This record gives sequence, C-alpha cells and structure tokens, in this order.
Amino acid sequence: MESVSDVVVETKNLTKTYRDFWGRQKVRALKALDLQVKRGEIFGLLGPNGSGKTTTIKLLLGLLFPTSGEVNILGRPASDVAKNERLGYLPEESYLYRFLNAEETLDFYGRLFNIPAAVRKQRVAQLIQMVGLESAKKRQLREYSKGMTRRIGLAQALINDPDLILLDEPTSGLDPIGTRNMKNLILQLKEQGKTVIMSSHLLGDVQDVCDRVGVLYQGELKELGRVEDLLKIVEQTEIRVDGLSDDAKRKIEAIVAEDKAKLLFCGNPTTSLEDLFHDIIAESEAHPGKRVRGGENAQ
Amino acid sequence: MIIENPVPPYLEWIGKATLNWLISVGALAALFALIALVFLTIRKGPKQAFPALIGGIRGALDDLFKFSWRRTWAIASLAIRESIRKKVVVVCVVFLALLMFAGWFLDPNGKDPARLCASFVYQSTTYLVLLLALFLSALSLPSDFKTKTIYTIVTKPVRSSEIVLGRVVGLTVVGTAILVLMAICSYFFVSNTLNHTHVVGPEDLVATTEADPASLAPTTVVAKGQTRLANGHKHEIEQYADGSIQIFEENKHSHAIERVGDGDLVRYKVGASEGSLQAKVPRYGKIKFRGENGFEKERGINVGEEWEYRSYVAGATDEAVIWTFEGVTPERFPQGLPVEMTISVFRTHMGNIEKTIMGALYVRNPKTGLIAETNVFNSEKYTTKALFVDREIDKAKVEARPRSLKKMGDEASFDALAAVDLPQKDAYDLFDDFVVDGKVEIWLQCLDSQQYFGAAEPDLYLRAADAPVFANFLKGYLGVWQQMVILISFGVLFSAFLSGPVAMASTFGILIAGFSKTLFVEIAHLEALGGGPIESFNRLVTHENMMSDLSNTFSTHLIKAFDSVSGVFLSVIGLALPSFSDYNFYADCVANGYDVPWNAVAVHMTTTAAFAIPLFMVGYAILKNREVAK
Repeated sequence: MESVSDVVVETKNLTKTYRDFWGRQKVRALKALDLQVKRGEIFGLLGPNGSGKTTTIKLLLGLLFPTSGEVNILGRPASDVAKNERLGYLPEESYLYRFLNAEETLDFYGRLFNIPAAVRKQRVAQLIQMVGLESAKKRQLREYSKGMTRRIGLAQALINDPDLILLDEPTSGLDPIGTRNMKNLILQLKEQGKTVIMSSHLLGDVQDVCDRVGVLYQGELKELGRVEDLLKIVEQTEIRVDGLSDDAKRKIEAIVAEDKAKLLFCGNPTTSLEDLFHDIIAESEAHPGKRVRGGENAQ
Repeated sequence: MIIENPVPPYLEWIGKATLNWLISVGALAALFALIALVFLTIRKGPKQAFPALIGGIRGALDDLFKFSWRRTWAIASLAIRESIRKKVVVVCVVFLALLMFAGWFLDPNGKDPARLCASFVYQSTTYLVLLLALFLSALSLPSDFKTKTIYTIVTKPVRSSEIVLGRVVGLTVVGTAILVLMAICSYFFVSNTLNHTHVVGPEDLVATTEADPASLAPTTVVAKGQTRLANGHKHEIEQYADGSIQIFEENKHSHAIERVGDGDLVRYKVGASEGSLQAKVPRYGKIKFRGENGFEKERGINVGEEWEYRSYVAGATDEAVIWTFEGVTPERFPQGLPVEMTISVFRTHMGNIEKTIMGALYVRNPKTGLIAETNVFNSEKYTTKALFVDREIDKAKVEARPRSLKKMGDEASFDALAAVDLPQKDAYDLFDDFVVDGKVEIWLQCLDSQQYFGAAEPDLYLRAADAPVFANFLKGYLGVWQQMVILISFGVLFSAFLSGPVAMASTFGILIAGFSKTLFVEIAHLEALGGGPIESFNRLVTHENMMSDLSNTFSTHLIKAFDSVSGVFLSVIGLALPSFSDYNFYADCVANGYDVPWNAVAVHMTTTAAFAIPLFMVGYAILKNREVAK
C-alpha cells in the first residue's frame, strides 16, 4: 500500500454542477470523481472536448468550488492559498499579460512567490534559456507566436520550482517540433522527481509521456490505469526473438500447432491509445453509466 | 469665503466620527454577514451555513495575518505598468490641450481673474482625474477576468486581499502621478494668465501742486495718474514730494514701480503683478450677537432672506456682531491685529445709493468689558475690507464705562459690570488692556440708522502670516486626490464582482450620488420636497406639483409604504456614500486666496481612510468567495 505522503493529489467523490443565475442546473461537468496521483508520476487526464478535464484541473486549483466532494492537493484543501507555494499551473491557453515582455512576466510571477530579487533574476534567465526564448525575451508578449506563448506559459508555471505541475492541454497549438520539445520537457520534469498532471485530447502525447491515465467522458471517469496495462491486449501473445535457431522455431511452431493456433508473432502486442479511446467512447455511448474498466481499479 | 459647514477641529471631531464610523461599519458588516448566511444556507444547508461563515471569518483573519506587502506591491506595479503601456498619459495631453484653449473662454479682464482661473483648473482636473480613476478602477479586474490572466494570479500564493489592495495602491500611484503633472501645469497656466505689467509714461502723471516738492512734507502727493490699460484694468498712481511713487491695488493685485532718470529723461518701470494668488492664513473666532437690550444671542435679526447663512444687526442701536478670538498673543501679532472682513449690507431705504453705509469696529476685553472703537469704515457689500487694529490705542477711543453682555437668566452679572468705573489711563495697549489669556472680542456695529449689517462666522478673521502660494496650490489638489482614492476604492470593489461596464456604471452612480449626498439623504429620510422616489415619480407622471397633498386613496398609501421601505434601503446606502461636494472646499480655499487648513486636510484624510478601509475589506471578502473560473 502507498504511504499517505506519496499521494500528492486526492479527490473524493468530487462533483461539479454548473448552475445558472436562478440556481437551475445547467450541466453536470464532473460526477463523483475519485482519483489519486502519486509523487513523481505523470498522470494524464484524457477525454474529448467537454468531458470535464479542464473542470477537474480547475477544481484541483481552487479556481472552481466543488458542488460536493473533497480535494486534497499537496496535503491541503484546494481553497487554501498556501498550496500554491509548491504548485505550477499552465492554463489551457497561456493567459498572460500581453503588455509585459518575457523577462517582466517571469519576474512578476516570481515576485508573487516572494522570491528574493537575486534568486529571481537567476531563475528568470535559466527558465528563458530552458524554453528557448533568449532572443525574444525583451519583446512584449503581444508579438509572440502561439508556440512562444505556450513556452513562456510553461516557464511561468515553473518559476517557483514546483513539486506539482498541472498542465492543461500543454501541446495544443504547437507544431510537431514544439510538441516534441514540450514532451521532452515534461519527461525532464519527471526525471527531476516532479509530479505532473496533464490533460489532453491528443492521444499520442499522452501515450508518449504519461505513466498513468484517466479517461473522462461526459464528466465520468471511464478508465484509469497504467498506460502499458491499458494498452495490453490480453487475449493475444506476441513473441519477438532475435537469433532464435530454426530448431527452436520449429519447436515453438509445433507447440502452437498442437494448440491449433497460428504463430504470427511472439509477445504481447499493444493497441494504440487512440483505438482504446474510441472503444471506451463507443462502449460508454452504448451502455451509459459510471464504470471503470481495466487498469488498477478493475483488479 | 463662504463656509456653510465649517470643518470641526480634528480632536473634537475624531471621537464622535470614530463612533459613527464603527456603528456604520458594524451595521454594514452585520448586513453583509446576514446576506452571506442566507447565501450559505441555500448552498450548503442550514446546518453547515453557520460553521462555514465562522470558517470564512477565520480565513479572513488568517489572510490578514499572512498579508505580504511585497506581493501587494508586485500587483500594484503591474497595474502601474499596465496603465503606462496603455498610454494613460494621454489624459495629460487632453488636459494640456484644454489649457491651451482655455484662453478663449476665460476672461482675464474680470474683477477676480485669479479666482476664475483657479476654479477652472481645479474643476477640469477634478473631472478628468475622477473620470480616469473611474475607468481604470472599474475595468482593471474585469479585464483580468475576461482575458483569464486572473487564473495565473490566483494560482500563485497571492491572497485576495493583496489583489484588491494591490489594484487600489497601483491605480492610486498612477492617478497621483497624473495629478501632480496636472497640478504643476495648472500652476504655470494660472500664474502665466495672471501675470502682466502696465506701461506708465511721464505724461500719465498730472501734477497736483505747483509748489516746489522740496518745500513740502515728504508724504505730500505731488502728482496723480493712472497706468495704461492691461488685462482690462488700470491702477491709480500717486507720486509724493520725496520722489517716491506708489501703485494702488486693483483687481486684487498690485505692482512694484520704479522711477528711472530725471527731468525730461524720466521713465517708470512697472514690475510683474504681485499678490494675484494668495494663501492667506485666517484665524477664525466664534461668533455671537448682541441684541438690542444687551442680551447675548446666537443669531441676529432675520431680514427675510431665505438663505440663513448670515444674520443681521440693526444700525445706530446697541446691537453688535461679536467675534471672540483665542490665542491672540503679542508674539503672533507684534504690531496689532490685521482684520479682514467681507460683510453683507441690507438697506431698508436706498437713499443715495452711491453713499456707503458707515460701520465701526471695536475691541473689547471679554473679562472687564473695557471697549474701544478702533476703526470706522465705509462698507461695500461683499467686498473684502482689510482693517488694522493698532497695538497702541488712543485713550480718546476708549469708552469710560465697560460695555456688557447680558446672559439670559444672569442679569446680575450684567448690572454689576455696568456699574464698574474703570481706571482711566493715558495710554492703552491692546495686549495689556484688551486681551485676557489670549482672548479678545471684536465687535462690529452699523452706524447708520435703519440700515443693517449681516455677517456669518467666517466673514471676519485675523489674517496671520501668509502661507507659500505654490505649496498651497498643490495642497488644494489634495482634495482631488482624496476624491480619487475613494472613487478608486469603489471602482475596485465593484470590479471584484461585476463585469466592466456594470462596474463602471455603478461607480459612476456613486460619483453622482456622492456629489449630491445631501439630497440623497433627504430623499432617503423622506424629507425632500415631493416625497420619496416612488411618490416623486407618481407626481411626475400625474403632473402633480411637489407641494400639494396627494389624495387620500389606497394607491397613495401604497406608494408611501413603498417609499418607507425604499427609504430604509436608501438610508443604508447613504451610510456608505461619500460626500464628494465636501472636497470643493479645497478648490474654494485656493481660488479665494486662502491657505488650505491642515485641520481640514487631517479630517478629510481620515474620512478618506474611513471609506477606503471598509471598501477594501468588502472587496476582499467578495473576491475571496468568487469562483474565479466560472
């Protein structure tokens, strides 16, 4: 069993219902979400548009108040400002002050953490270098391209060297090179022992970087587990061997033939996350209701 | 200068004001808590509502404890940078353009050009700065919500209190910088508009005597004349036997004049205008009146004017207006008492309209009743007259018997004093004989029968040393600054929970209501003519005048009932409504040539803080409980 201190984020029965001015229910954006994210892992929240990914992240950050349920983040409730000391957040789109330049932006956010001036200066330079904006650091953000804005957005999320980083659609709007760089940055953060929660509808990205994923559909958690477990096709076996002698091959074929099977490949093949995702959606539409299949919860 | 509502001394005022403030803030806080409780009951159910409220209050105290000036200043400097990058300075350019064209509609040839110019610059600065404050404050937070930049702020360890205060401080710094720029430009505009000189040639002076000046007394006038016309006026000039020359005051200013050369080569050099802008430091006394029978009264006679600011004393009677001054010491007034007064004259018969009404000024010892007539003057209505009570008082002017003031119900003291014969002296000294413990009375009497003098407390004062003009001009802008801070506090409060345009309209509403707070409170208390809001509206649509009683019908009762309820609601708003018109006092002081008293500055500064603090607290509470991402 995991020790409690290893759990960085925990939600219990977290529900969010949007209401209109008169208190009438408009939409249930999130339904009874139970989730645990452990220290040092990259957790992906996956789902189509409007599935509740961003709502979940906003609830974790305290930007929205839950209708019911609890959030515990870095050992504190979401409404506690003190949790933000060790937290970094990259919003869906980089909502930054367009009249500031890159240096001023990072310096401003650094000041909000009460980081001393000397440390701040050093950290700003380091982050600008990390996200590759040295040549544009004196330009106002209004002149930035989408990719540059995402990069400065990521830099501001890391200004306090956070333990937990929440990334909302980190690769949206980035070109393939930008996407690759962003994924490398996320993996670097993992190497540094940081916990990352990211939401995305870009399945390839999630598959490449996440240790575990949760699939949300219409506000419900449909799937939760380690990526490799989720993608495993249990019914098939795949054997892939280098330098196997013909004799051994014949033996294997004989065994397979004895089993009245046909050897295609030896080992566990994997599906793509995209196929899995579409399966979940199709199944959810055919059989509505909350359920979590496969993964750790199914065991 | 007319001061209808004098600012009370700070120490006298602060105790009562603090109590009123605590009651008002307490009432509003209770109301706020009640609303929060109702809201929480709806959201969380009746059982959890109260603990949630207590939790909220504890959280607020915790936030206050962990408040960081450094973060607040970071938010403030962001607001400053935003304003600069969004080119707020354009307002200054508009103001400069306004000043450039002001010459078209400001007439420097009037009787009191200083007042006209100063009023103009104060008015225009007030409007521009308040409008700017309105826009900046009401739009700042909503624009953060609209662009969602607020997401990246509240996910940092920033408290709502720091966001609200940071905005208020930042916008105040921006407003202050703009105000200082405008104040300096205004000063140069005013002094430049007023500055002028006159030409005087030898032919402008006409000899008044043919005698050799050397044979005359040095102060004998040998020539008289006028300067040439400049800024719509001329000054009288007199030349004396000793060769000296003097220019007389006109339009509240004078000039230096110098005679250069001799004989046919004589020339006159006239200097720049002096004393156009002044900062007189008046020392006010307490006013009372003496009725015909010697009785002391709070007010004089009402001559039938609706405006009861001044009250009157009849001429050629025992009636007098009495000012009692305190702190009158020889150190402060070594030469004597410089008295300035602006009184009203009420004529019951016109007679010769050219002939002015005679009046007299007396000094009286408030303890012994010793009295001396020091000045006799011709009065002109509403013209400021400067008189001087010399330190040495001629024994012929001192009356043989003390004049007494009879207090109602204390006639014995009056009779006792009336019977006293004072020892006669050869020479009387103002401070030795008329001032007791720094206290002295100045009596004003009208000498012409059937004519009246009217006065109010600020109409007569002792003119102590003048204050520096430029500093006073800047001090006048403190009034605009204080209004700006209050308006910014309101703007930021509204912007914490309303969208930009609605926040702006609400702040504008506060501004309008604040400028006519007296009327607002009258309406709230159902004391205004035409009744409460619904009754007034009813009178409007039914073409009923404001005075007539409404018919005794059910609808009238219903209207009055609604008005009573709305009156309570409006009274609560009235509690939180600043009286912006009070701040006109600053501009009035400077425009009329008076020093802005530090006492008033202290009172108004405290009032400003008294508004800003609760507004900040409410803004904080709202922002903390607002769902940022909704």
